[in-house]
Amino acid sequence: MRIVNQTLYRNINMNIATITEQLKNLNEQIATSRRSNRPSDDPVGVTHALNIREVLSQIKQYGTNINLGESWLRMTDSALQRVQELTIRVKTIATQMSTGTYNAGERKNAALEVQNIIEQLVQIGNTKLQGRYIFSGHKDRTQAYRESLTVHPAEASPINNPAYTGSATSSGTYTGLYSKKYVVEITTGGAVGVARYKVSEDGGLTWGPDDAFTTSVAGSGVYAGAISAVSEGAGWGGTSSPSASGNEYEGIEPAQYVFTVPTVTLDGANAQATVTWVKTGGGSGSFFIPANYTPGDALPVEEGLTVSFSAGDLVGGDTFTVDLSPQSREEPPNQGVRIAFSDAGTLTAGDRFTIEVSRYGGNQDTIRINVGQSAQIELNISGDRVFGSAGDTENNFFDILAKLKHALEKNDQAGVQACLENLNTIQVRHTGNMADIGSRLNRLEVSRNILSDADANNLTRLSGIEDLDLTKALTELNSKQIVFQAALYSTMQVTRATILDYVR
Amino acid sequence: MNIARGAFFAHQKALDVSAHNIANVNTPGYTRQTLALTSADVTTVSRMKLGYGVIADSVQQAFDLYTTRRLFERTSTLSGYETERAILDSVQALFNETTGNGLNKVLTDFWDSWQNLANNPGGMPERTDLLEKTKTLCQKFRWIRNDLSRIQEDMNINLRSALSEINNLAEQIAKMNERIIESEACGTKANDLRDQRNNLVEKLSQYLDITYLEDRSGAYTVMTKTGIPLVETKYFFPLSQQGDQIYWNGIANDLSDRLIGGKIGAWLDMRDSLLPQLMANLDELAGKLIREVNILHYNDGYNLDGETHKYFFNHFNTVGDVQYGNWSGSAQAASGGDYTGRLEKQYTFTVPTGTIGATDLTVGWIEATTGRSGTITIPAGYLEGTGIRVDGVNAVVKSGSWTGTSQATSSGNYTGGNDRYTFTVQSVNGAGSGTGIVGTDEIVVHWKNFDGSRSGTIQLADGVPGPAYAAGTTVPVDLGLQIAFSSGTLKVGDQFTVETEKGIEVSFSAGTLLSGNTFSISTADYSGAARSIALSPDVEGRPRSIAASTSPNAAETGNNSNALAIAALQDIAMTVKKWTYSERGNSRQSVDQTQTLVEYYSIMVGDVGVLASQAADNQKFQQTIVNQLNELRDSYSGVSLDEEIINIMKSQYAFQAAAKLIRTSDELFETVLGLR
Repeated sequence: MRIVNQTLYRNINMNIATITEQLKNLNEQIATSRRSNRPSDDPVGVTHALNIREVLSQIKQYGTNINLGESWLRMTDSALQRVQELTIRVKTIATQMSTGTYNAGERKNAALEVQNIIEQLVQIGNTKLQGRYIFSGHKDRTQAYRESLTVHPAEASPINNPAYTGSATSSGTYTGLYSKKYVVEITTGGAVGVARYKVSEDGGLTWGPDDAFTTSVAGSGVYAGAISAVSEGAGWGGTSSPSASGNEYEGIEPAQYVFTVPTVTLDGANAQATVTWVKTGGGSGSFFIPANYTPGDALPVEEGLTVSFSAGDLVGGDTFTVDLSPQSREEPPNQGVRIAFSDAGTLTAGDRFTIEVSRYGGNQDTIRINVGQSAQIELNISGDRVFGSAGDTENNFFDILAKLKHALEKNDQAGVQACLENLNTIQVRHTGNMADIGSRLNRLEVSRNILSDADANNLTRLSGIEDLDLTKALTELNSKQIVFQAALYSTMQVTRATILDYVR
Repeated sequence: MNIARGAFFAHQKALDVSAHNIANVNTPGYTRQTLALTSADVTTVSRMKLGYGVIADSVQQAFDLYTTRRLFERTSTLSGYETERAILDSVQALFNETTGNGLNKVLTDFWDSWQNLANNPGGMPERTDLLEKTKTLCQKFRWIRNDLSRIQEDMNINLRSALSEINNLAEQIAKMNERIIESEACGTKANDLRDQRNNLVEKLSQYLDITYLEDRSGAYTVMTKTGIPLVETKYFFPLSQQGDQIYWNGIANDLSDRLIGGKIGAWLDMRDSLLPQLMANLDELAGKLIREVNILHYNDGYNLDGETHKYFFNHFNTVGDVQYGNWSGSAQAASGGDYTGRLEKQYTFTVPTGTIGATDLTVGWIEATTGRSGTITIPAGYLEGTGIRVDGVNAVVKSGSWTGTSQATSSGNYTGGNDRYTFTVQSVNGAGSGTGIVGTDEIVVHWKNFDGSRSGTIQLADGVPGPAYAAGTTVPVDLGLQIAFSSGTLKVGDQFTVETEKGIEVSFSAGTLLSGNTFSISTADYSGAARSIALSPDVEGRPRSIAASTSPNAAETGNNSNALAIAALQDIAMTVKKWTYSERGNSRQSVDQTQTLVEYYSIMVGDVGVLASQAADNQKFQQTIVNQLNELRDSYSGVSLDEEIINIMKSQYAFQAAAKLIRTSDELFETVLGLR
């Protein structure tokens, strides 16, 4: 074949370019220490690598999740251990005190210790991890045992007094700061309204003044507002007359509502109108008489108050007033807590009603987290499972402790004995809970091991796809360099050889 | 003496030709020339035939027609692959995940953020982080999508300048044709002009697959492989661009599909097939993500304030355009409405014969995913373009405590929004307990919507005094929702729910419909999703509004069920369409693939990689072929300096010999003249 100058130079260019490109690729691989630097370098590998990277990232995330789970469960575990220790202590106290060898003073002292334990338990119940109450179920930002929540129901009936067949109910919203136990003790016996009482805010350590029920109405204690009068204003021109009803008025002071009516005939489809009102002591508003208003239907004004109109006309600008007065009331023990007694039977001096204001604010829901692909673990254990649910007097730890303390204060050996039974059940429950937490921690450990194996496997696979065998690459680089130099050298030689050197 | 003069001139000319060759040793496309020498006529002197010396006959080109033609073809293929490779390199840079900052990374980060939120659903840092991660994700989607369309626009810019270059080349070739005809009129070959023209044709072949023929006058007719003439003798036909279309000779008729090969072909392929395909697939990915996350977030989730029905991603309307089956009526159907339901639905409508608005026309529809069917009515006096709501009801879901044997079915064209209706069997024959038989006993079913703002009862009559309820009869409930019961029993307390959703609308233009004609509307049209993906205003800048919980109770800050459900989407294999565009986008086909979103994306990246590496391989291969062809051509047509120098020496000696001959003749003359 005839080789001409252009062919020669073109080939030299081409070959040098090829080698340079290979050198550049090798250099890039070595510099990044990766075999493939763009999808086209290894399209299949890239697809795998992307999936593996996702898996790796997930594994890392599961690791984070497991860490959270572990710290949460360890915290739960140590909290439960404390509970268990306290339970054992309480049981010891109860066992000791249920024997006849102790006197009232010693039992009183034991009651103090029980009170102390109750406070510790409330503290444990409010254990927080990174701002989250671990015993609050799904309501993790709500204090599990919070003092300012709804008041726990009062002990329904006084212990050891069959003569009183009524019941006490507590209500209101506690506004104090600390967990408290109110005790209402009857100082002078008699029917509701006759008997006198005193209140203790600290579970019976210190007592308030002797006081009397202010009224003998059954169910007293609820702020039941009474409507004393509905009076039409001067110059009432309508043929319809208003009336009012309602009984849940919560004000302490008497109040007066002044209503102003529009012109309207209350007898058919077009009876639509707005009535405005103003309340003494502040507050105003309006309500609407809808189309097709049936005369006599109650229209809500405010909580606890409704107004109705008889058939007929209303004349615009006319006013009528409704007076409300607190019907009867019972001084609450304190700080928003109220107690009401139903009137049945006789109370005797020494009867006690207790109101617990520490109450579970969480719920029973379980929080789950992912600890692997389609593997979840329950993070929390609800306060109810640990301390028993509210109202379940046989199983609620706080209730039992309150009962125990009450019995101790009253030097009631049989009462203490009864509590001991309950404490046994509670202890069994605690053991179960702790075993549950322990097995969850175990599962986390297993998950962690599985993940770390998977992590290592995937890293190896990824490295196999992406990483460069440096030794091989460097050897290759060396040989490429030699080729490159040889090519340059031979180029020099070939291009230098020309006939011109031999002709004169 | 005369012979010597002839030889003298002939070799002088030979020297000229060699000099010309040497001078053009590096001229691209130059074809080696040689001087054709022939011996002059023979005369007979005293019966002896004596030669009259040499004649420089003509200057000839060492032109290899076959190789040159093949070279042009291959040049076109090569520059096509070169162009393709360059574009694919810039495309794959968008999908470069090797540095770990690509879409895959941000998508994975996104899912991780949901898990972090599940770990601490009430945590503000987790919520804020999720919003930030989502913003990054959306941005990434939009960037890639925008970059793809920018590359697509670049194709048009490239085309514009390439077309003007083609026109320029065509014009030059036409001019060359003219000059060659002129200069060859006298019978001699215009070698250098031909070289220049071939050079132009070679350049032209970089842009397009072309073919050419030489006519008797020596002029080239150049046309594309597909037969579009570009040059004919001294005339050329310009190509021009109008938006996405390419016109020939100013005639407003798009023939871009007939331009193949070369750079232009590669650009058009990329512009109309690969880039739209990538964008469509990216849209599918983004659309699916938006839909799946939003369904859970909107329907099942509650935020920290106990609010529900909040979108996470900006709501994306997925109601697709009308796709006609066989359609011969003059009226056109149009899709409308804003579908917000859980399922991807596909409605097919079958129309009756009639004129829109003249009489009531009942159009039947059937939905592919649920298998539900129903009808819509185009009423007499229909105002063209008015939307008619279709369906919007999902299947009946019975609660676990269902004891009756009667089955309830839902139907109707619901006109409300996303809601959930709960139906409870309230009484049987007026009693608040017991079991009744549909059609025999009087059964009252109470219904209410999700928030209780709408409620009512439906009554299945017992036939006393009026007609009894016939099993299967639809009973209107609310806003177009209908319920029917099959024969069987219902027990007080039995409960079922029907999820309703904002359904699609269809409208018709004036005209006629023809019986049996069909059209269909899909509610899973994600085109453009990657371009517009963004956080919804519901949650943008409002971390509290992320619905991690499934409880309306705002105090349940630790409820992470919805966050877990959304995080679980990462591992759920879902059906995503994978588009393939071919024939410059004239053929678009989609295949349903079931895989996780990340897998879908990985395969997409892998596909781009395969294309890029194929283009690189093809380019290398074609380069080798072109090199070989070049070598072949050079071996025949190229100038070798050594050869030319030898030629010069040869001519020089011949020239010297001729001179010597003159001198010898002169001496002979002198000798003759000196005779005394």
